[in-house]
Amino acid sequence: MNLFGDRARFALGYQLIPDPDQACQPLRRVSWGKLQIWVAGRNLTEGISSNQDVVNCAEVPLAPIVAWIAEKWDPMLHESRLPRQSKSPDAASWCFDCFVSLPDDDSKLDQLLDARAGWRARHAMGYSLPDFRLPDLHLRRVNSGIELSWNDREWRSVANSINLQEPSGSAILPATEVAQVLFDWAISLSRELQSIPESADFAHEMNRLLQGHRTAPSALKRLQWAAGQHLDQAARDARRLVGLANDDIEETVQALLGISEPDSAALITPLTIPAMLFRSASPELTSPDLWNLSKAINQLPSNTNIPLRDYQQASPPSMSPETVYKDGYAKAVAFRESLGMEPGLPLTGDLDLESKLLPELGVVVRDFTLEDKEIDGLAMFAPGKSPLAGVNLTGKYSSTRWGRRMTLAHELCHLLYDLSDGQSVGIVSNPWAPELLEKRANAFAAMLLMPRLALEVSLPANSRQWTPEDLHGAMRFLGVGRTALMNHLHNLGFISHSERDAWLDSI
Amino acid sequence: MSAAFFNADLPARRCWQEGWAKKYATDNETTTIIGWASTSKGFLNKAPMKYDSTTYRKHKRPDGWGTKCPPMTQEQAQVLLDTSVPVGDSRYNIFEKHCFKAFSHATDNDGDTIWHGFPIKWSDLPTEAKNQLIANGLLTSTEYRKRLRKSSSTELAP
Repeated sequence: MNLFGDRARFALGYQLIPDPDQACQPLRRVSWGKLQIWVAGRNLTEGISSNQDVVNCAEVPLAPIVAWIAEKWDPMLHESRLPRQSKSPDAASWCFDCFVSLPDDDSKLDQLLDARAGWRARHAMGYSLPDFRLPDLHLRRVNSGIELSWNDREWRSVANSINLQEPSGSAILPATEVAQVLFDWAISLSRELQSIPESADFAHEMNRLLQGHRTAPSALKRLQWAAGQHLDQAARDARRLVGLANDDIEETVQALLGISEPDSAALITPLTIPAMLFRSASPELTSPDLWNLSKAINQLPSNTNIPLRDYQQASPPSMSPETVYKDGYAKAVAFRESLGMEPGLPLTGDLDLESKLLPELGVVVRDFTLEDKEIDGLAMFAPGKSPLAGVNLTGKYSSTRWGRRMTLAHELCHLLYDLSDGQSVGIVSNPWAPELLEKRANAFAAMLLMPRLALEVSLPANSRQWTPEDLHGAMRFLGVGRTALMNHLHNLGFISHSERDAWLDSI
Repeated sequence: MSAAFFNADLPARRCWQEGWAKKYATDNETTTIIGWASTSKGFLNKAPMKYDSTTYRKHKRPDGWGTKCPPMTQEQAQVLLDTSVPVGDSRYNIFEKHCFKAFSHATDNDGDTIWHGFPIKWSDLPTEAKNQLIANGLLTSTEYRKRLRKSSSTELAP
């Protein structure tokens, strides 16, 4: 078996073997082989056959997988936004979760199915071989990493001979590492297929495509995938507004994406801040909103003395929705400790989040008035510039006094831990943003503003003795709203689910 | 019987040449020819296709990674192929609770295309094929939605 990569992280292996049949298409026949897929020490291609034998690799035609990798390279490794808003922790889970509540309207169902099929074509390895029980490994970009996720739930309804031993899971690994493994595997196999007459032309073409991804990539195309294809329309709108012809929008799209340097040879293109911002915003982002965000990026003030830098640490989120909360809590506690804050003190008065803490960290707070009311806030940072925490004054939550504080604490989490390529940050907090990053930032914000000790100080020990006045007092003491307080008390185990609902109704 | 069907005694090859194809009725046990349908109705719109999976066995091995067809006769498989709907180079159809895709892997000495089919996930059925199957009366929207929900359910497969 030719193995590429590290089995403990991400590895792909192959070995060409004789096809057990002679009747299928020549390309499939000559590329018949063994395949191994390893993620985080787990062999996704390990299964139990209907004879109860353990098999440690798949046997499939390999040419369709090479073709899929070569043809889908740019979107597979640069696009991250799912076709629909989602609470799913990863791309593979979304492909099932989107069927939980099907649209009543048949045409809307068709739109969902087409969008899902398009997404799978670009991101799911299983798409390349629908007639084989290939583990449906999904790859998508998350900041400077690639999320690898898989889930075989749907395969259980299709008769086959193999039961996979790793039914579902996910991991995030550095994008450059994942890309190198895919490239090395596909190139090696192409070279081997080039020596076989039936596959020589195919292999030559694959080799050409793959080498092109390394030596002559288009940063524009890749960042368009990252930002979302709606950018073209926004560029057309913008050109029309200033009276320019719409036949050449490339220059405008390049400007919107912040592309200032010529293409450089690399398997992966680092994400620019605009690309990161746009990929986390709604695909229906209006042109005025888009220009508002673009303007903000260009107007980030230069600054080399940024105390926040001492606390920043790129930290991909945990892949489990349960542990990502704990990660957010732990990071908030650690951050308070590193600042030398008393654990029971609220971030009000002399320690006020917006007027004291953020300025001391060098974070600029700016208000935005965006047409998209689902956006609460945004975070931007480029080395050498001041970090920016933005609040949308039209946002559903951020437009309230307490919602504003939660939004700023949430954006602070993004600025501290969601660093991407080149140590930059760009994220718009709304339902389209990467779910795990949002969940962690929510937990961080809650624990930063409401540390456990501060809750214990501000409320009687026995929750059955609480009065509405106690809770209103805690809200004032901590500077938070009732929904945030009650959810946090519930999440920390102070009150039950039903007690939370009862208090939310009564205070 | 619909006016589209006629002359059940006409030889199959001549029917094809004249633009007509067999229309079948199937249940779990048997397959019956019930007449002939115009190819313009979508029952058959390509050169004669033969279903033959005898030389294509890799899916059937106990340690094979291909999806496995449920037990069916060669005749049932041929009916499925004849009544399938085309999308691109592939053809799609429904049999019991399964959704199938077929593609041609060879051509025989008569110039007929040789096909084999395999079950696919319901969500892999292209919307264009799904809508053609519904229009041809081979699938209902309700059944399709039910299968989609069931196939992605967290419960174990039926």
